[in-house]
Amino acid sequence: MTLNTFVAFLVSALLSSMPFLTYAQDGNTTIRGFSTIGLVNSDSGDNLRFRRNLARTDEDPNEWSFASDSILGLQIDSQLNDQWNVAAQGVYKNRITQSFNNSIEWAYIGYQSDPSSAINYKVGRLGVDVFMLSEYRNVGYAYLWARPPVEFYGPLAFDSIDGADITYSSFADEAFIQARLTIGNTQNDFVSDEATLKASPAIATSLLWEKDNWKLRAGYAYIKLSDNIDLYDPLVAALNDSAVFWPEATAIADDLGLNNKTFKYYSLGLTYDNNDWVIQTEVNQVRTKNNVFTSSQSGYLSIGRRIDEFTLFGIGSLIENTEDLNQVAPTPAFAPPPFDQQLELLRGIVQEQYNLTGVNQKTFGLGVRWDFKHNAALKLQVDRTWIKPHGAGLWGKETSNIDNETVDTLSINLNFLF
Amino acid sequence: MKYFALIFTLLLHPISAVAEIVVITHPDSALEQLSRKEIIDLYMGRVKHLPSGEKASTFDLPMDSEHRKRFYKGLTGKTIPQINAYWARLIFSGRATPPQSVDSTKEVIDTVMSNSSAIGYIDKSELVGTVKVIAHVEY
Repeated sequence: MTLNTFVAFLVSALLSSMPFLTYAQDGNTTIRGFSTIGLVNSDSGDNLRFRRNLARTDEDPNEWSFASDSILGLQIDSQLNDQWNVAAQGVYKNRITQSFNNSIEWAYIGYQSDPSSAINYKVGRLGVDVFMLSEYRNVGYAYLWARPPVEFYGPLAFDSIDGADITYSSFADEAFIQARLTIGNTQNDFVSDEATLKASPAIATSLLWEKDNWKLRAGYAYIKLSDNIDLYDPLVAALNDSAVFWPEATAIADDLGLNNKTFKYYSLGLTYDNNDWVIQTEVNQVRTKNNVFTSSQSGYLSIGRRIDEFTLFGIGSLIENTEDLNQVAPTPAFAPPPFDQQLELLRGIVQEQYNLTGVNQKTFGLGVRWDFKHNAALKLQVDRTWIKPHGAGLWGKETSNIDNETVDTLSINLNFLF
Repeated sequence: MKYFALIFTLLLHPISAVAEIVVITHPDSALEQLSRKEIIDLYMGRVKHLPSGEKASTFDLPMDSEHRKRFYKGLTGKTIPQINAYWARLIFSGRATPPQSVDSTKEVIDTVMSNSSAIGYIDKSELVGTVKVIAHVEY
């Protein structure tokens, strides 16, 4: 499907105004869908290219594009009997690698022994439930902003976990409580199709507490990478060949191997919504011990005010590395020419890999959401982003060598359910 | 005589000035009453069963229904787009399925009469004697 037919389909779907939640409802089987038609433009100059997250391709700067935010999703839910249900969600959007397998956002079979049981089991491809929006970040209608805050949701590279899931739901002191544990494997192409990150195990846990106007959420995820990425193969080979003159090169090559490297995500989120005001904040820490990626922290605070069918909002978000980016060991002084220059060149390339993943930026955004129909919302948002040198890891770019940059991004999108 | 005048005044201003949605179920249902919180939990997908443990089947009036709008406003203070955004978060993360929409008040009554675990809501003025009222939602 080309982008034009995609947009044409979306527009016709909207104009036909299929009523949300009743479309193709056949007793126990329901088909529903969601979509965003989004335009985005960043005045980032030639050095940086906007991207919504690391699993999406990036945009040409200074041009309006549909590719980054437009999404079409379809979901089928079927209740087989009182105990068993099956569900699947397919999502069409721009990604690093398009394939049928990648388009299946999740698909599972679920079991609950009886309707009053507190425990629900699922097996299959499952949503990664770590942050507030993790599981519905493709569904523009479900959240306030033009897109999930890039500083917070942009680095989240994994969309789903293939495995098993147990959810416990209960009430305590009038509050609704839900605890969830998902265990399995995952993989995703990240930045480039030569950078397939595979993880085993991938574990996600979360705890939700909801009462009256308040929602509190805590999440923890652990992933262990189970393979190296092809992108670094030539570099690793070159380093290993250089060990004669540069003894540290072997260790540096090992550092580029991502196999067995671990990432830990800790997150906390809070929402207050009294129907007039909607306030949401999340904070997150990523802890990792490897040279390619450096530990980081991120967070955002959003304040929205509903006035009839309009919601005005302001949002501030930031991400920064919590440790200095790794520095490659110096090349030996004794290497004879021309090897000394070649080694220095090699060292520069490795250092650049470390610098490219560095993150250090903050964004302030203002916007409005207009709920002009019961199943459709129009959003307009302007963002100003300040990026520090070696901090543009969330952007598409050829070099990490940027100065302090200020980028304005304008977004307009139509979000609907059908 | 003073009381007569008061009663006369009340008759001229019937109590329908306080509009109400009634939550209804099958007359043979063991269910006698639902609290406001129980209705919210059922209609917002937090609870899937009746107090008896039986699976609950909740029904909604059509999306453009004025009574649907008032039911949710009275219950949660939220507008239909807010309720739909709430459900989009649950549905598209596979957490819960929403009440089933039917086409009319008559269909709510017919559904409730034919299914002992069905729960629906209608405007009080359209109440018929056969169904059992288990809660009132003022708006």
